[in-house]
Amino acid sequence: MLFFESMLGYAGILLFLPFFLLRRQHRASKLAVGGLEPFLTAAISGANQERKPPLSFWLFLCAYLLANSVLISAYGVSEDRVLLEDQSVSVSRAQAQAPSGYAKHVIVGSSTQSIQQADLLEEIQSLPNNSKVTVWTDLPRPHHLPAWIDWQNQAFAKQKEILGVILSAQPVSNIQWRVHWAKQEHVTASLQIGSWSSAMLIGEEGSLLIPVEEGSRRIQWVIEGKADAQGSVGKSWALPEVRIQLPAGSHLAWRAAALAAWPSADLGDGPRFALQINGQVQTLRELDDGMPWSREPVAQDVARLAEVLRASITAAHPPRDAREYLPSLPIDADRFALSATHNFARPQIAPWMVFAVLLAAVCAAIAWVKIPMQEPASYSEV
Amino acid sequence: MTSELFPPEFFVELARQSARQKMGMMGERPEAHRGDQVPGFERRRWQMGDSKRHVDWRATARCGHPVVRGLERERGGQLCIVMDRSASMAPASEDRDIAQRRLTLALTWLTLEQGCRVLLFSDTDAPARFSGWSRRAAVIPFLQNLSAPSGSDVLRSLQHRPSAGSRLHVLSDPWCTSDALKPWAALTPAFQQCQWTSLLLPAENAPPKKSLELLPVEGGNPLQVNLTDQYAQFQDSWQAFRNAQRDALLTVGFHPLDLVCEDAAKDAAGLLRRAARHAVL
Repeated sequence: MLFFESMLGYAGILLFLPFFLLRRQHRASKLAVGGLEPFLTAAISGANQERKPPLSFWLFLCAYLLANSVLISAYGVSEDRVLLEDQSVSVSRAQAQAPSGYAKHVIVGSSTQSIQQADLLEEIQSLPNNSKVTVWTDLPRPHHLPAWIDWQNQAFAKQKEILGVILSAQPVSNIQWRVHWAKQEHVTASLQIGSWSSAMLIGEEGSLLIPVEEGSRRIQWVIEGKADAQGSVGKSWALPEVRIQLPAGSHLAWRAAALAAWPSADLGDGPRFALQINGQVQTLRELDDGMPWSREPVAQDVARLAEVLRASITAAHPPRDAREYLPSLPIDADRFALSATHNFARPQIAPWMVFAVLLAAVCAAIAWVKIPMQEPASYSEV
Repeated sequence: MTSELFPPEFFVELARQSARQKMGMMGERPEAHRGDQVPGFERRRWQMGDSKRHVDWRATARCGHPVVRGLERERGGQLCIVMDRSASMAPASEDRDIAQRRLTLALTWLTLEQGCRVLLFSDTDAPARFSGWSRRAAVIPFLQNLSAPSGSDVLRSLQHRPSAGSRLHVLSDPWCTSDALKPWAALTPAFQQCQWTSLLLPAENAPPKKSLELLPVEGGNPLQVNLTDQYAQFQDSWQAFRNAQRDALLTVGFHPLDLVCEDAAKDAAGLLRRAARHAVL
């Protein structure tokens, strides 16, 4: 099917025609004869000789290729095959390979950017009118999708369903964190960290305070009273271990400001300001260079420190989007005003293309005249 | 047979050729040669001593008194026509087969008109004998009922050894090799005149200039040739083959003649004209 949807396919058929005629011309014709003796000389001396095509043949071939390239460039632009690939977290879990061979490849979503059906349909709206779109995603196929959109989510059909997900965790104090969660409504589950377990969670989404003990930093779901030991994506959350190193000789008010920004952080001294998240040192040059560490900070500096610290930790440990993990229902594609029948753009024929076609026709006519035709059988009476 | 074997224009041309042969004897007309050898065309009243076998009963019924067919004498001796009925006579088309039958009828017709006897050697076990001016038309069904050419070349022809007579005329194709002609050397001395007519197809003189897969109809493996660039070599080889055949025919005592057979559907009269022009008739 893909062959006939491509202009290159039709061009291939056109190219096949002269090839077929050439093969037919070179194919041995069967001729019944009374004897073979007069032909033996020709058979021995001419068996391994290939006839070189005349110059006119190459002329015709060039003309033909030129005409084909013109046709492809004129009509080939009328239809672009576009692959819209969803690369959000939920798709990367499946490890399925996206199809290849498309004229255009558009990537939507990333490990930090969640993607929904509406986002994909809006992206399709922004594509040129002559596009034929294949969508590679794990999201369910929207209702009333036009035929020119190929929604491929079959590869993700056998993906394991996620029942609950921890979306984010923020420290409230040095011993308490506020955890945001989401789960499927019918699932009975609770959260567990170390020896502490929460009450059964009710509803689809919520938050709760959890105490953090020394040495236990992983929050896990306990679904229907059974702890999930697998710790797969979405089912557990490791609390980040944050260490803030202030320059030696910093004013005490900076320490208070750092703890206010991230209460569970460990504070230390060093030659310059540094942030360590789960053992990974991150240099924050904007804080290191411009901050008056030795003086008491003003309110703007405190706010800036808090903003930079939270942004850095959030970037290293981004919160999750519940829609990315929990199953969603198909939406209606009608509200995106996608045309049911695709109106491909009219071929764009430039003057040079017309000239090229005329040149090809002239070359073909010359070649037709120049190609040596088989002379009619002539004989003379003996 | 896809073409009519003996169309009306053939007989028109045959009559013209017959009249042309009479031109050498101005004032003569085709007439019965009275004698006592074969039943003739003319009739006469029954006389005492005439055999009852010679009574023409239809003529008797018309006339009301017994009528017999008068006897005629044969003049000019005997002509043995050998028809090569091997498969190479009709390799791709039946033009040559039809031409051979037409020439055979013309030769027989004209020979019988001259008062000669004709022996036809074809694919039957024994030769067919025709004699008498009135028996000309009997050759037509004989030639019409011949089976299609098949088998190999000379061996079949030599199975019927032509009886010694005055003249021998072989109607064959150009594919008879020099070696295959050698056995004829034992036969030709018995004849006063031996003539070998090779019937040529236009495609044999000028095959298509392209790559060909040749299928020998008398057996053998197919052969691939490319005549696109080797056409000159083929023409030389073909001429050498024909010259060798001509030399072999002369050696065994034949007078070689060539005749081209064109499209049988349009060439019934033209064939006779060409045959007369090249002294085949």
